[in-house]
Amino acid sequence: MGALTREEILCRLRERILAFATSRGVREGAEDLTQDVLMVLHEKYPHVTELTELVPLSFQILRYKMLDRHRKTLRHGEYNQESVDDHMLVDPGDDPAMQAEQNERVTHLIAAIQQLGERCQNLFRLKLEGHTFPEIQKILGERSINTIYTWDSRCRKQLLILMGGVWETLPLKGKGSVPNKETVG
Amino acid sequence: MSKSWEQILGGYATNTLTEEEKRQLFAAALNDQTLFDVLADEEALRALLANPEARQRILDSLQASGNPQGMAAIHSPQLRWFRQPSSLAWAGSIAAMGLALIFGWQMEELWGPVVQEELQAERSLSEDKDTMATIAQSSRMETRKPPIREGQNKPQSKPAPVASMPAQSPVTEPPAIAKASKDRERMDEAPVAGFSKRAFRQMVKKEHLPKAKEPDIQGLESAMDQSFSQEYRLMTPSVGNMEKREEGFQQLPQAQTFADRMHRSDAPSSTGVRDLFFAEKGRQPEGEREAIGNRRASQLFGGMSSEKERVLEKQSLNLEMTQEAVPDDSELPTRGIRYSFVHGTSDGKDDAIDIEHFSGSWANLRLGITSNVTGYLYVLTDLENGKWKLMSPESQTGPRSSDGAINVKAYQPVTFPLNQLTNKFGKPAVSSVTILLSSTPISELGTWLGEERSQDQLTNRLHQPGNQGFWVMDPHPKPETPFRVDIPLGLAQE
Repeated sequence: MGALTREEILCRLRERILAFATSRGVREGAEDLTQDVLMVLHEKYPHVTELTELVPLSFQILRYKMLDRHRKTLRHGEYNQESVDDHMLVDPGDDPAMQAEQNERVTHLIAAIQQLGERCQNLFRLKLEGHTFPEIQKILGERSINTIYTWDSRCRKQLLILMGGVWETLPLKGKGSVPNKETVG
Repeated sequence: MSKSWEQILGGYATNTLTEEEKRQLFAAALNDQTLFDVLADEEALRALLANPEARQRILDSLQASGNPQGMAAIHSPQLRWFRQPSSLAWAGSIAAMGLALIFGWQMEELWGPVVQEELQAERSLSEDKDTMATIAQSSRMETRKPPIREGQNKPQSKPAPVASMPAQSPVTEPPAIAKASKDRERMDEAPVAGFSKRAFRQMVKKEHLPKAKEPDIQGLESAMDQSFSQEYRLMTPSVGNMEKREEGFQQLPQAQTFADRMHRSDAPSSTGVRDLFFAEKGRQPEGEREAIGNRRASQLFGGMSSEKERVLEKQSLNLEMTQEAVPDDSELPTRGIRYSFVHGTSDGKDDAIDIEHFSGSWANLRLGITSNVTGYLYVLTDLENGKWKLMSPESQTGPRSSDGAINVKAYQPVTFPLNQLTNKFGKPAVSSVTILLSSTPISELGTWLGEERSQDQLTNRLHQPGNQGFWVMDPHPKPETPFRVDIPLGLAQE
């Protein structure tokens, strides 16, 4: 595949983001979500043109937009019928809830990693230390890098299973994954 | 999603993909919705691991839970070498060889002595068989000999330790020496091991004996075991006792002389005169005796240090000198004469004839005389007027002294043509032929040619006629007295 221009990349990103949002139950807001991501890329990151930078950036923006959308939906009472007065004002920084969620995810992740085998733990440690796959291959003394790829893929799947199938639990899922518009409305 | 892209997904969350991997992965994600979805889901983990605090916390937990030594061991090149399949194969092979060596060593430790004992028992059994076969052969040869030897052996049934040692024939001596050496080794081992190797070897030997299925040989073997054990006691003293060694050396068997046998037997039978005549052949020359003495010494000194060997060699030489200094009448040779009348055949061979039944011309006959000792031979004829005439031999085989004596060697035949004694009719012109055998030339020949002398000699001599001649022996030889034999012609016997 030849080198893609920024416009081509954004065009393809739009398709993938829309499909992803639709598959994640965003429903009517999928188009808006996609548009929001692209708007951020266009307005805040016009200098990012490289594929290896633009795609992960889009993933990051997409994640934030989805989290915001979930929080907004929660505030609007679409999941639970609550009084708006009961909600505190939004803090622009990391709120304690997010910090707690992150701590909880880290604890969960550590617990899952502890259940992995020695090889997977070693692989994960090497990756956290910043070693690339070729470096890990040299460190472990394997002749083929495909061996490292295979080991890492198996370890990732095993860790994902231990994490419950998802890396991140959306904050709104705890109280009610089903909107109660009909009840409120 | 291609499986190849799925394999490098794990590097996205930890941000450890290379630029090339990232480019290929993201390009693929733009074309593959599934890969894009997975990457989008991985974003949560990536964001979590992007937090330095969370990252360090996970690392600490990993290092705390993991075995640092194990981690270091994985990084060590030695263990890395062990993880390679070829290295594992080598290690496995070496381990298998090591196990085999250990197993073999343990087997050798446990069963090695038993196997060696069995092998030694088998070798001993085979040697015994050889020895028994040799003994059986020699015993068969002995049984073929005239009974005079049996008569000689009977008085030796209860011999003194020294004299009881049978004179080993050259055929049987080497196995006996080997057997004695082997028995000496067994005797040396016995006091050390108690019920040990020898007892076990005997047990193994007994187990092997029925397998031989040779009853005759087994009987001989038992007899030989007793003989060898006795022989061992006499010939091989213990290693640690030098005095017993010296005694053992002094008890070495000496070859029996003919006089020994004669003194032990009151009177040999007449059928053994021929054996007595040839018994002098059994006397070993001085060099041979010395060689046998050396063999005995080496047999005795086997396994001893060179210093002790030299000491005992010196002692043995002194002992031999002492033995030589002691005069012994038994060393005198037993003199004997064999004479026969022979007739030349057409093919040039000599044919012994029975002179008693001979009716032909004596001029064609010859008188063959053989002495069993070296000496001076006088063959004379009585001219019946107080005169004696020396007969001339057919061929001069040896030096002749000034007085006409023929210097003969032991068992060297001398023939005399009888035509010098016959008349024109071919009949003997003299009544007898007198033979004088002396170890030294006789200065006064006439003093030994009287009738009284001859009668005196006749009373003491042993005579045996035979188809091949006549044997006359002097059982009690005196060095100063010549041995006289009268051959009456006409009767040709006494």
